[in-house]
Amino acid sequence: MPKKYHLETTPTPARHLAPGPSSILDWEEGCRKCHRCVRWECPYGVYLHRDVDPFSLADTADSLCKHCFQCVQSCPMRLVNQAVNPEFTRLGDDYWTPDILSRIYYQSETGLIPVSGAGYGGPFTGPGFDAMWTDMSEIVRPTRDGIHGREYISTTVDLGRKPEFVRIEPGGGWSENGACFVESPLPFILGLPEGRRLSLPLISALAAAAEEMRAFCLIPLEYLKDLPDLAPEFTVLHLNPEQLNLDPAGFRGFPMVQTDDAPGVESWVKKVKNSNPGQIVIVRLPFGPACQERLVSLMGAGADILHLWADAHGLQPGLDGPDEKKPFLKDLIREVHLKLVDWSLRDRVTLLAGGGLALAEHTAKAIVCGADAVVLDLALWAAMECRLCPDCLERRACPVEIETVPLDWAVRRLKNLIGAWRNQLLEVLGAMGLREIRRLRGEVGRAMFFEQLEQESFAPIFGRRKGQSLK
Amino acid sequence: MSENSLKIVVRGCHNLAAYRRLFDRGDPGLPPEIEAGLVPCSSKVDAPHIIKFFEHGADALLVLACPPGVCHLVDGNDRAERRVAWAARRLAEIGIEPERVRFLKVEADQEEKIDEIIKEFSQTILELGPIPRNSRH
Repeated sequence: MPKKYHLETTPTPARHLAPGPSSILDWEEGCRKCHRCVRWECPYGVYLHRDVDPFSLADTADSLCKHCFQCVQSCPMRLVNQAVNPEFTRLGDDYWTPDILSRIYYQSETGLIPVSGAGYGGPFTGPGFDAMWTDMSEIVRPTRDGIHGREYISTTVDLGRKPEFVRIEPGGGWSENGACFVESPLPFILGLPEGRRLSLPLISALAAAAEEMRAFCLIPLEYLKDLPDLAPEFTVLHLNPEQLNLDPAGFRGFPMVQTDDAPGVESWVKKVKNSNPGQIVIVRLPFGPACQERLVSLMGAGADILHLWADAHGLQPGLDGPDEKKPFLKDLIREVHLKLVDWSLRDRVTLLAGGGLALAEHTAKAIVCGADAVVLDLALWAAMECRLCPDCLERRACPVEIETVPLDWAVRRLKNLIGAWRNQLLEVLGAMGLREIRRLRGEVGRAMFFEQLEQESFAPIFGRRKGQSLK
Repeated sequence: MSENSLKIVVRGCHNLAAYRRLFDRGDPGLPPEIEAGLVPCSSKVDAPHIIKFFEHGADALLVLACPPGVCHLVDGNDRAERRVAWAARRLAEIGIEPERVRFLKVEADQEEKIDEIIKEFSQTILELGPIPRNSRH
């Protein structure tokens, strides 16, 4: 049997306690000094370890409390209360909600899948990826291996140009015609978020985590000289437009090299392909109306992978107006994917999608919409405790000192998050009855789109929906 | 932050609309020595916590509470006032000036001037300077 891919997770406590959803108001006045105080009966020992966090000066009980309300209900004098923690509601923004961030913190800390408790009490649909439901019908009828078969589900993806056909040589041998691809055991590429602080410890942590997971990581060329222990086989070298005039032979040892789309980038792609025949060339470009024409041109020049990015909220970049009117990532990926299918070009290129991927299910949904793999960015920063402050670059001091993350700690946190997300992907694939993630690409039969359902099922009866439309 | 820099802690009830609005734009935009935070009620600021703030390097504390009679927890602001006064007395016993701890029930006419109140408090503390700390501790 081949060795199975496994991601080892290690519990890694946070360096800075994140605010929890509720805040304990523990009043001493009027206490009748019961022999056994409800606070010492806390099943999580929140009050036993209660202190003031030296860094944030916040009450540690607010971070450690699991909201079981035992103390609130049991105090005979009703002296313990809980209220919504205003510091929690300040986390993130309207897309990277406090709830999403606290789940990322939990997964990065424990490596476990977050469990939301007794049932789901939220709405059935919402904007963005919430308007897309995945088909989990097999979950009620487990396959012959049941849950124990999940170790045979593969999350391996091919990155690069796959062979369209095999050429049989006159002597009996064969060759893969123009193939140029690598396998990644994970459908995630560790990327870098736009507009956030970068530092050598952060880049080193990404590189070390990628090496341990045998996945790929984007490394800007300017950091290369400071990373003597970098494993080139897991590195995607990212070049700025100013670095395109460098001799491609200088980065021959890297399996993949990436740059941003710009006028004349085709000639650079050709130059790299001529200089380094086996090297995979990635061109990164924003989603938008012009990107489809650019895709054909870039593929013609020899680009093997196209990395399409949306903004941090998964919306099409460069558009003015309200967010509700902007196309969302799932529709943007579908549009590009279907265009390439129409042009019979889909299998000649790998599509990477990035931006707005905040939950494990977003990865599965992006792949259902047509991406081959995804590039993670802000979620990785959140794994290293980023609070997603809106003005990261202008702030005087990072509240979690992210620029100076300890290497081992950050690597464990990144592996925990990726491990938890991979476990969730395995659950999704298992529940769909799929054995490998490559088969999920473009498999819209495994998903339902709310707008489409509404149009097909309800529009003939009720006509046009009133009120605000979903993204 | 250098060893001699000030650390002024401000904690205010999130039901104080004018104070909460400071945070709506993300960073409250206050001077760097001010570490401002929101609490669900001013009574969240407990006496042991106040002592801990000073232990962890704070040079001053300003607690902003709702006006009398409008506390969402009925008497949370009154409880907070008593606790802050108690903690200030304990701190005075170890030589920390009582001016470094201020409790203020923000009246309706003061609401719009909340950042001025904070800046005026920080000016007072700037004049007092940081609390001299023994480097051995």
